[in-house]
Amino acid sequence: MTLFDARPGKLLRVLQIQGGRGVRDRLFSMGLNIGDYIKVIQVAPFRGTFFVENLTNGSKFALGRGIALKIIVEYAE
Amino acid sequence: MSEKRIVLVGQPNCGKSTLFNHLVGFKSRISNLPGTTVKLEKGTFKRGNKIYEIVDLPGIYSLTQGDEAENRTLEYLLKEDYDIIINILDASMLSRGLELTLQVLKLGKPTVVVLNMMDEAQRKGIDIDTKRLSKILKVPVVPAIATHGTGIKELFDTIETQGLSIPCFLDDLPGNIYKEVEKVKNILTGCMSFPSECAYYFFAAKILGKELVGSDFIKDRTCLENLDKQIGMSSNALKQEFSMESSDVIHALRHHTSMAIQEKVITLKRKRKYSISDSIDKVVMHPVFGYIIMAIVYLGFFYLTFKIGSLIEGYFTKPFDLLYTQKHGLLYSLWNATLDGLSGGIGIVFPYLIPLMFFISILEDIGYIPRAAYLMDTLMHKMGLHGKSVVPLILGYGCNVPAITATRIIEEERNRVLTALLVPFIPCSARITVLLAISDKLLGPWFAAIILILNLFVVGIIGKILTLFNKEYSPGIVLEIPSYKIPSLKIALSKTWLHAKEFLFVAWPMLIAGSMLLGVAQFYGIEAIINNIFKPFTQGILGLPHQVGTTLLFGILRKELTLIMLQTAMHTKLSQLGSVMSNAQLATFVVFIIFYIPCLATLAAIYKEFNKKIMFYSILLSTSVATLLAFLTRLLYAWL
Ligand SMILES: Nc1nc2c(ncn2[C@@H]2O[C@H](COP(=O)(O)OP(=O)(O)O)[C@@H](O)[C@H]2O)c(=O)[nH]1
Ligand SMILES: [Mg+2]
Repeated sequence: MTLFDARPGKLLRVLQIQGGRGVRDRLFSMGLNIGDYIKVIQVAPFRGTFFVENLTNGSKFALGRGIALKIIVEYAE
Repeated sequence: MSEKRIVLVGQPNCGKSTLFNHLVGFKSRISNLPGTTVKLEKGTFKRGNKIYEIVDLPGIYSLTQGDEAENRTLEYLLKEDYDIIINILDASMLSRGLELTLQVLKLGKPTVVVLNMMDEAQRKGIDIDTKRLSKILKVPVVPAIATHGTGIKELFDTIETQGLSIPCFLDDLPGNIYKEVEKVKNILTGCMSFPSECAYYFFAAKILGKELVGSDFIKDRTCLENLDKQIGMSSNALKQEFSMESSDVIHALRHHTSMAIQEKVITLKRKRKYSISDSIDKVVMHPVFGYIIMAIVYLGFFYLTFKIGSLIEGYFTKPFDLLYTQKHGLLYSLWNATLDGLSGGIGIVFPYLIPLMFFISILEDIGYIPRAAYLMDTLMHKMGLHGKSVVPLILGYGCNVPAITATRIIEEERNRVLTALLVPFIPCSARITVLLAISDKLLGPWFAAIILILNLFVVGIIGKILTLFNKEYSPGIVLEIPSYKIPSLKIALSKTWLHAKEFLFVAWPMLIAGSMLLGVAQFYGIEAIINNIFKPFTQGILGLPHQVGTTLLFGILRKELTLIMLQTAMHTKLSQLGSVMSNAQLATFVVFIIFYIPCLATLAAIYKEFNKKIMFYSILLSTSVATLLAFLTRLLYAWL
């Protein structure tokens, strides 16, 4: 499933990041990598911007819906 | 005695600017905001008989093409001349920081690593074996807490006594990958020239990893052909072995190497407990409460500025009131105009400017601005932009000039231009001063509140219209949300002082000079000529007294001038303006001031950051919007 479909608060594992090099490189270098454990903390109303924590390195991000649709995750609990 | 040039390199928010300020003194802006170090900040640091030139580069996540700010850092690191790299890491996010470090350690420059935010790491229960880390990286590692200035002495002791050697970290390129990188490197050796062997490995790995493009650095035809051929072969070899793209291999190995190093040097003393930052975010980022808090922050921000400003104002202006003269003659009118400038600057502008700058720097330092960007992202999408545009817009309330520069954190060029066109519609401290002072004395605080809220709608509508003409798909926001930081009073005060200084020594003299000039112009009747030229516009369209023509013209220099020159132009003090201008005229005037042509400094910033065309767009757009809105205000008052 994509991050977009994941339930907030659940522990997730990143399986894959799709999309062009631009987005992937950006996420990689900002510290969101394949295999990382992440969690959706909040989703903003309406269009849904995702507030995500990467538990592997403690970083947090705001990710737009378009980005969330490109991150493939699985439940890891 | 030689002057060594030291560059500070690190990921956004690692504390570079804080360290820089400790070394150089509070001369630069610092904030808890990715990408605010948008200019190259330089300064000198003296220690004993040694002088260092320190350069604070914008934060960069990876030595790869990124947003405009990062690209400039990359270019500096690869092309400029410098002697030492201080690589700063956020110790509480070690492995991520190390990914950058592993790249920096290939640049072939003497490097020292600073583990900053040791207090933050401690709080998270992370213990770091710095000696072991130093052994692995083969460079000195100095722990530090930049906010307290801890570690600076040790850092420079290390630089001066250990005599830094040139590192070359290649452990993230093991086995066959090293062999392929080496093949690429062998081609590069004949095509580029570096003082150090290691830099060839850096470029080879970067080009093989598709993180840099060879043709950006190499011009020779045959070189490029050979390089392309080799890259093709090596990519295939890696693809076969790892069954992934070569670009992913290089990155993945760097990532795993960093993780492995972190594993070796870190001990977790206890499990990470629920942090205060998390609890605050439960409310601040909440889909309902988050917006309520944002509204309170927004209005509270101006309310406090208004309250404090109007409280101080009286004390400053009163003494001047006694000095005005009723006599006529050139000298007397010059005297009165000078008093207008003097008291207007210190008495009217200053009291509002100080609390405004103070609050904005507190907001920045706490880490609220990226959170506002998250909350606003949805709405900005409706406008065809995304949340990152909010960052420069908020900074615009302080001053539009750094706000224009801050657009560099936006990756997409189209969004960057559109945001820069919107920035001038955000009333900067100078215009807020005009608004608050006139509201305080004449129109009432509600007027200010209504205008500020209407302003937001106007920005939204203009944004929407602009993006309608520039439809383009953008993938969406990717913005780091740093943990909350306790704002340091010292830093907030020094940032405020920085603005105060700029005001007292640059703006204030300008205000006085402008006012005096107007006094003289008035005496000789030059002012009347200018006013007459603008009369069809000022009186005809906007219904203002024709005397404001010159005021508006001068206002382009600095927006504060409008308020001060208005007094001179109308021959009355601010508090008595009500007797010569109706409320409708005052309101129309204020609305026009808020929206019309950006000040000269902002225009220059737009020109420098973009080009002449964008600058003219900005002038055209703001003037037409200002005229339209001021005209509507006039109609509205007539109708009421
Ligand atoms: N707790 C803690 N906070 C720090 C330290 N160094 C910097 N900060 C804070 O971290 C934030 C980002 O610092 P800044 O210097 O702007 O980072 P830059 O983006 O690398 O220039 C600011 O709010 C600083 O006050 C530190 O050693 N400990
Ligand atoms: Mg900085």
